[in-house]
Amino acid sequence: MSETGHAHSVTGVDNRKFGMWVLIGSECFLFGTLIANYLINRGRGLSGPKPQEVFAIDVTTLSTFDLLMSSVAMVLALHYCKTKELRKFQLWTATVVLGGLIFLGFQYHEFSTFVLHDGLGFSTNIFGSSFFLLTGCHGLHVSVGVLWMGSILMHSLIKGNSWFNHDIVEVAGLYWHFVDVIWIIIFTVVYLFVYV
Amino acid sequence: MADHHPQLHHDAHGAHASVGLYWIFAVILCVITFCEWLIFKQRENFGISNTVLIAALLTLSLVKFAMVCGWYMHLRYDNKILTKIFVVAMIMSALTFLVVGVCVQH
Repeated sequence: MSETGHAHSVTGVDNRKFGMWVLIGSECFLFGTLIANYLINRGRGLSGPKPQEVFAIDVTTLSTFDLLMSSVAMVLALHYCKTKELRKFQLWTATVVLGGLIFLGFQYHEFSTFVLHDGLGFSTNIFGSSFFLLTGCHGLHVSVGVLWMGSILMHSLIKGNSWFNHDIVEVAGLYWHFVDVIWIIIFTVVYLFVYV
Repeated sequence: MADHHPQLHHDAHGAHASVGLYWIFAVILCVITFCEWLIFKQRENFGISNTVLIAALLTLSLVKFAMVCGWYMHLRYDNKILTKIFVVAMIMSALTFLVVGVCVQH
């Protein structure tokens, strides 16, 4: 049993942490399939805009910086949770939530520009369908992460020093970093390979 | 031995990187992302071929990937079974990716 009273699996790893890694493993398949689907279909659109005509790499680079920095904030939040420094933990957890919200703002800006300015919707062509499916699925994962970290922040604000559950923060952190790792791949393969 | 490394922090929950090391990695991640953007923007000025572009960007991306997984996700310090789960999933995912790609080509 861990100090928070949760059982370990036969591997010696906390069950929730082990479960999160299994989930991450299965999510690799999901995103691997979605990225393959995008790469296969991105150039097959019979009508409508092409990737080269709509992508704004400068803006996407900024959103990548933002997500990377939120990952740094996440690892610092976990560190200060372990050292039981409440204010610093709350500050960095709030930074993670803010970073996630800014990323979602960037995504909203990108999607609305595509739809309203470039005329690229989900059903415009197969590039649009595969692009929105992939990045929308990632955005959905970011949204879940923001809600999760937001709930952790609320718990710590309400319960104060009596709430220091590093196991929960670590599992949430694993999820958040995984979302970041997936974006690292999407940024390179989807955006930077646009002319390849 | 990793246990005696000065950049490692030890507590009741095992070894992990220190706050200073996390910030160093943050700077490196930002610099790599900036390099990716720069390579993309300057590819025509420097006459970078598609093959070199793909190799350079994939390498930089993999370095970022490894840094986040190894240090921020603590795979480097955690139970090795977690690394095995992740690596097996990544390999199988990559194989699925390749099979789909080959099938579509034919």
